Amino acid sequence: MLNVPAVAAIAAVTLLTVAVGARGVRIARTPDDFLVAAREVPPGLNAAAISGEYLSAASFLGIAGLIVSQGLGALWYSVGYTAGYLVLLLLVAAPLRRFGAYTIPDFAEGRFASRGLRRATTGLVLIIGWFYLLPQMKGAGITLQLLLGTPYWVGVVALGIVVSANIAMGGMKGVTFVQCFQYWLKLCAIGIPALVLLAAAGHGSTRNLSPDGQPVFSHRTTVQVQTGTEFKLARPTTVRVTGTLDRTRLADQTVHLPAGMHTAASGAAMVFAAGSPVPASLSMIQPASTTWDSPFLTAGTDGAHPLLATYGVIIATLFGALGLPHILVRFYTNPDGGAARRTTLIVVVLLSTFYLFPAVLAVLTRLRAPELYLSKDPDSVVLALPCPCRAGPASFLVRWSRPAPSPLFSPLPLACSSASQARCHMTSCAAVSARSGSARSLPGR
Amino acid sequence: MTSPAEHGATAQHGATAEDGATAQHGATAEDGATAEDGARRRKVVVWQHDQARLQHDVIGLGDVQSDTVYGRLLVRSLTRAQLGLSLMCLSIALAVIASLPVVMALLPSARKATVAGLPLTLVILGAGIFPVLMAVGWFYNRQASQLEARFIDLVDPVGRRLDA
Repeated sequence: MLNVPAVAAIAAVTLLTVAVGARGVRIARTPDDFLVAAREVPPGLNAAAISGEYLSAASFLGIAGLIVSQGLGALWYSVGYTAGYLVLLLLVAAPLRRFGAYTIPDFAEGRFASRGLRRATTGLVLIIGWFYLLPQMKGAGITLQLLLGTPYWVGVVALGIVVSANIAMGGMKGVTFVQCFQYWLKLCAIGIPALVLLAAAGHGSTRNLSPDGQPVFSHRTTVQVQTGTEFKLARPTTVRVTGTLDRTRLADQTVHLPAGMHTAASGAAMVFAAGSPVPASLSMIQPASTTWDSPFLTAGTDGAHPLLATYGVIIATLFGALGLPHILVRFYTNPDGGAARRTTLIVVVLLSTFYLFPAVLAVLTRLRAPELYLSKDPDSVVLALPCPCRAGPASFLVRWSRPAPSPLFSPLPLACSSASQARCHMTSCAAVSARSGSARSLPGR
Repeated sequence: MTSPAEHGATAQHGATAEDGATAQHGATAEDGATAEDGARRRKVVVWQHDQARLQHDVIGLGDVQSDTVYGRLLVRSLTRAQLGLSLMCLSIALAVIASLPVVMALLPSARKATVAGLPLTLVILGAGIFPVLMAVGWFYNRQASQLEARFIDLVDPVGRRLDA
């Protein structure tokens, strides 16, 4: 039951984080050291720290999943998150830094000479911080629960101790090092697998990307149903089925399935021929009015008013970054306003780089592993995609129907199993996606 | 508690500190804290009003420092120029971003266009728009620094650099 590679990876990341954070220990002596890292953090370091703080599981897992499940319009999230820092650069970064406060409530009080505003801002900072803290705590609890079998509260307490110790000893300096480390770790964790998969994928049909194209299997593919599920076929097709399909028991029989909804019981195995349409699970079914290649967002409106929904997300993401207290306070660690400006520009570059990769992974999924559409959790795409390719570039795309061996090539330490068994990795993925809440309901950072 | 009059003064100082171009303000906050540390090891954990005033006093820039009408006018001109630059860059960025959905909605052919087999939407939103964002940011950074350099040359022709 114990997942040794996963436990080792989590332990390594935790130890590295503590070690990196400990670099700040000797330095934090005065309030200036503790609260604003003595205001001497250079732009490059601060930019990486801001990016590390900003990018979480929603960006790491959520965006790729959203693109796979809802279409290219979900790219607006990554565009908006990045452009938000451009707005921050243009309107906020340098003046905020020049004001020279310690925290956002300090700024609010000093700028507008109001104790009441200070209290209100403090309340808002606490509320925002609470909503960031809660999913992290829950994620830690669930992850340790799954991997070590500890009670839920152990992970929560462990996370609290590690983070509190880090901050108490290192102050802002320690936090800066930790967050910078986290950015580069996250970039490597998503970038290296994406580049390797891209190289492995090589040339091939881009048919699944073509406008209006319903995804089709590029190879004969066996889909193992782990948990009973409903799925939808875009057009009629012929499959070989072992197990219960549409309440009929079948033993390696060829059946013709009409287009529309079908029900597969757990344990059923369906063999799709190359060129068959990829079935879509409930969460992946798009409103009839939109297609996968639509440049508009439809989440939350069921396909109605796509243009308004898109502009809504653009406005929210563009101006949302202006209001993140944990990001704003980081600008006080820069030496001066000019450095704050350079920091923000570098953040735009770093985020742009990062957000290339969820798109790459989502497109590769669409092209090469469309059976992930059967998964009920699109957030698992990033975790599950590498699995089919584990056998090496030569046999890439072919081994869908293999049973799942140990995870060797997953961007996250948590287990992923053969992608064709689209449901079996759900338990471990739940822990990861829970770290930042469901990306589908709220793709916040 | 401070009187309303003091509040007003603080607000004014705060505004000046925020708007002022000099990079020195922040460093001054440290100076203030250090001076107090030296005197009685009194630790200012919460940022205080008078730090804004302190910062303002230590700029060391003649007219700008002594809070004369002329000095305020100088700072105001710089603030105006910077705000104009910000708004110009912001409108460029917003025009680029906000025009995309409308163009896509009005031109169905653009929605269906492909570049080397990849949908145009993917090429633009997945990669192409990022260099545009970076370019706007880079341009703004350069222009803002130049504005500040010109301001410093104006108020301090002898050449005491503020960012020393």
